[in-house]
Amino acid sequence: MTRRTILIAIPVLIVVAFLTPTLLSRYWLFLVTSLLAYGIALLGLKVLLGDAGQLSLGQAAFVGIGAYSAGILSDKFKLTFPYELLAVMLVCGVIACIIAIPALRVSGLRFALLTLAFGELFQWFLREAKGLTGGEQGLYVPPLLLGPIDGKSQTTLFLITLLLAIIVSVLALHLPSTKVGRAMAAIRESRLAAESVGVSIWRTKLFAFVFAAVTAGVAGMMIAHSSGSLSPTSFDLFSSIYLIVALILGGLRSVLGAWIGAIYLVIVPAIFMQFGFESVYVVLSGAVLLIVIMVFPSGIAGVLKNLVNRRTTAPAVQGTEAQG
Amino acid sequence: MTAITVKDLSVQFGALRALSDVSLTLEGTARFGLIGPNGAGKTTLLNAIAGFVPVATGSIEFDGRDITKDSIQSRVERGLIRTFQTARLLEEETVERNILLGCQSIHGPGSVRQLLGFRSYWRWNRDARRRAQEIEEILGITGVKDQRVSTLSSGTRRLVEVGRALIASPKVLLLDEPAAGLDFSERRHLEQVLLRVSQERDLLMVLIEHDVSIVRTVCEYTFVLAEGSLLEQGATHEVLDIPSVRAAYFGEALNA
Amino acid sequence: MDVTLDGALQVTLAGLATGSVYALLLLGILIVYRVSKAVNFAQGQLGMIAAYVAWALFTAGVMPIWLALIVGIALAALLAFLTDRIFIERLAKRGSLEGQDLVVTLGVMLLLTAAAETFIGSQTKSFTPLGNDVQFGFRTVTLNANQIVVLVGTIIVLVAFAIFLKTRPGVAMRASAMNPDLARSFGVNVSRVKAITWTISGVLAALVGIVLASRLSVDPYFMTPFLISAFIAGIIGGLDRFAAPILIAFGLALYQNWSSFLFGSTAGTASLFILVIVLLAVLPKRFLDERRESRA
Repeated sequence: MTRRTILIAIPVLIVVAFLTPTLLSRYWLFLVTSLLAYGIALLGLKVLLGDAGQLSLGQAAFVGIGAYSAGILSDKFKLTFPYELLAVMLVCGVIACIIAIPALRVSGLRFALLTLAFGELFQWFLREAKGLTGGEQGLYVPPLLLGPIDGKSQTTLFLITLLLAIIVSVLALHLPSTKVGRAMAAIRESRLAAESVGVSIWRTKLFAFVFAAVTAGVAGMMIAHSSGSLSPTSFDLFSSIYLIVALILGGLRSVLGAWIGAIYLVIVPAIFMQFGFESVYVVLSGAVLLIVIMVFPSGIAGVLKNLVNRRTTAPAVQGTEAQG
Repeated sequence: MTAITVKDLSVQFGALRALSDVSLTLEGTARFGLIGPNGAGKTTLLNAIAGFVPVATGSIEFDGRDITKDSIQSRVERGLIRTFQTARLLEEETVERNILLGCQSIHGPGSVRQLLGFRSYWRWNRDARRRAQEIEEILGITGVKDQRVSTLSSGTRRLVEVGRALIASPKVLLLDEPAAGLDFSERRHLEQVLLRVSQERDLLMVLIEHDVSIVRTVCEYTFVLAEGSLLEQGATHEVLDIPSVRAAYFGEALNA
Repeated sequence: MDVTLDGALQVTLAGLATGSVYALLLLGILIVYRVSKAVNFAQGQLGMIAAYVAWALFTAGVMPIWLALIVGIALAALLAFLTDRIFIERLAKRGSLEGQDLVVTLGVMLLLTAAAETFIGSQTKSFTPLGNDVQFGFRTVTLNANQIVVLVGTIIVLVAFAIFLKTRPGVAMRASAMNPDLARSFGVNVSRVKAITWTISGVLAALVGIVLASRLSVDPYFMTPFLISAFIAGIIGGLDRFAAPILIAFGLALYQNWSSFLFGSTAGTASLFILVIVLLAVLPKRFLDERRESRA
């Protein structure tokens, strides 16, 4: 992140923060909030799948854990926002550590299988524990408790989600230049090379796994409050698959890619729905995935970066540790 | 004094006995050569010391401590680092970032502190950068430090891997055929680098090599393996003149 | 609840009948993995498309049932063949697959799902019974004709396959899988072996799809639970093996059936996933390590 990028980004973000609620209708503001929330979840997936190379089919399940936890905690315990956030992060973190016990022993397909099993188990739990989760009928989520600030207003939710999105994005941008971020890159490329420099494979994978789970949980919490109700189908295996599709389309290894993926995930289906072409989304996703993998493996973000690189004549220079 | 003691080491791959009851001692900050014909077990011995293959019988001691059952990671943390025959690097990353990868075993602030960018992280990072620059200078690769590794010659890639091993300030450096695939000038450069590294850093260096001239120039003491057993050992110039060594070893096509 | 001998026999036989379906589905996945080192996520939906198309053709009165089934099977075989030719082969030529095969077959899976939803509709439908209504009884144990035929048929297919692997074309297939360049140097047409294998895999998927469609009421996602179970068996047993995963597939079906019987039908689903998690947590590392990189 060059200084210049930061100097441009800050005013832009402030303008966006002020203009968006005034310009958009309530519905579209809700969509943008969802986009921000799913972007956060995609950033978590970017770290786990893109950076550390671990295929997880359970990211949507963790979003669901965050969402349902938020709903249940704010209903039963009336926690205020900061405590609710911390509680959701804690729940997701702890569950991730528990799943990690078997998960870290395996890699590749077996790891994917385990995350799938966990996701399916979560679905089963949601449908069976009707008293707690409302079962198939779903759960009603009370508004956020923020003291004097109105927690029901979409504007408040939008601003909070925007702030969270910025924080998570900054973390994700910073990660590759840390020791653990480099360890992830090593593991992704060659397990043997990683071991030979003393990378602790399980510790690195654990970090990625917990990071993905906690960010998913945060996303889930904001989704819960902004939509006001939850149902199990939003967090099932196919949802996890759509998250992966979105990330691959946007670009597996870049933060920008995660945000492009979020646009695809939230805005595109909304547009299709406006025009009555709902099932086109599924067709599109399949086709998109095939085209991306065959033609643009690094996703849209990769294409954009190539265009930018071709413009600059000098080779890539200083200090830019993070990917944009 | 740094010491590695190997006692009655045997390594088996299925029906194949790769090493039979090999015993040897490596001590001090010296440069040791490990030579022998193909299939003699040199790489297996190195793999066993570094922890990459399991041991059938026997033991390995490092600084008086039995490390036979230790994981690769704990051996690396104790300062025992190796390189590979084919340099395994992160292809899409720059030279400097590949070298920095070697800092994994250096203790610093924990992952979360790193992520959140605490002051201790910045200090650690700056420190690591400085170390990387020193190493790049010793290796003579400062000019390419920001170039992607995939674009470099095999000689330079080999040096990057050595750099990655060095940044962790190892006590023991095990090099698996570092000159393989290098042309004449790259080999001479490698010789000078190895000598310089050994002088500036107090470490115990072990070199597996086919190139006799490098072994002669760089290594003070040499072990000769043949068919899984230790054939001879001694001061390099003496060992290379022993008839049985010449027979076993020079029987193979060798370059000078 | 009492477990009578007849009850036990019933549960076990029904479990084996389901297991044969898992095994057949898994077989298609295994042969493709052997030959292309690719994991075919679309296997389930290939079966679904075969069943849907056959159903659509039959109910539209366009052709008799047997012809409709053949068309369905042929379509699945063709789609499998195309997946290989258009995507998998091209990726393989670029270099090692590195998980891109997963993504590609995922894409194919989504496309097939979408095609079914758009052209045939997403509500559940019921198929023709295909022998599910013909019951055979032995004391109080009943199996219907469909289950018996499939169970017997699967066993025959598995045995035939095991024998096939020892024949000359079978050896050619194994050689192509293990070392394509070496196989080529023996005159094996690796490309053709792959194409044929994928086509057969499509046929297997279609057979499973049709059989299952005749037993359940179907929506575009009906194959998913079966595919998941097949993958579980394959991944635990090893996708590069044959006997182990197939046996595990039967084992899983038995386990699920018994869990449902003892603890209720919803427990059946959950118990499978709990088993997976526990197995992966507890099996010794030796069984869990995937093929390691060569430690030069």
